[in-house]
Amino acid sequence: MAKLVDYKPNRRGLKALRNSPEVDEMLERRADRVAVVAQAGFTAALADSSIAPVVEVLQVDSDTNEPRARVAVIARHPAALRIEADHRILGGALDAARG
Amino acid sequence: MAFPDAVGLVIAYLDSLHSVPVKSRIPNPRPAELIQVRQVGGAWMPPVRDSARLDVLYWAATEPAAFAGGELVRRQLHALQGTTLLGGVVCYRVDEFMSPRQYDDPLVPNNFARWATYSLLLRANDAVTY
Repeated sequence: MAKLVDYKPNRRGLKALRNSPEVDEMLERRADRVAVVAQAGFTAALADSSIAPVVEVLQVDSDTNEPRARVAVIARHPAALRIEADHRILGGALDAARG
Repeated sequence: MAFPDAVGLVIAYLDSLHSVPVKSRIPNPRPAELIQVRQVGGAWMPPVRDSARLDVLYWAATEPAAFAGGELVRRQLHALQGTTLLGGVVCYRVDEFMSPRQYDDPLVPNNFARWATYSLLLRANDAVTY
């Protein structure tokens, strides 16, 4: 018969882990993959246009009170929201972060 | 059918609940009121689950109508969780990837839409029998 095990989270350790350089690097690798796919998507979708959004990966501060590794993938262009609504390039590229 | 056609199933489901046209692409000319469902991502979750990330846009002639329509669709999609209302396909979970937000297209006058993204986790019964 299986034994019940008490789980006591190491809260200090969890806080340190989620703000660790290793987690930050892992997030950045995933964000880089998303950015590559998104940039290719913009290039393909806007091939007949002079509009050329540049996709960037940003290290951004957490929006919580506690330090936490976080990255953002953005498209720099005034028409970025409209392009996203029409083609869903950033949202569609998100699956590249899996694995 | 190895994997469920999430867009087709959701369109059929919403179509049965609304008199407003429900389409995957915007007709030209666009009707004053319209529900658009399009797939923008997702992945197979072996062995028999398939996640589908869907954009749902509710277009209407006025901002209050777009808001009310978007929120009604939101409730109807969340009601799918734990049911087989999608043509008999089991829907395990419904998550909000992006809750309904105002979508203004500055190039189109009298443009009122609510744009939301949902993630549906569906059973893909025949995914392992290819």
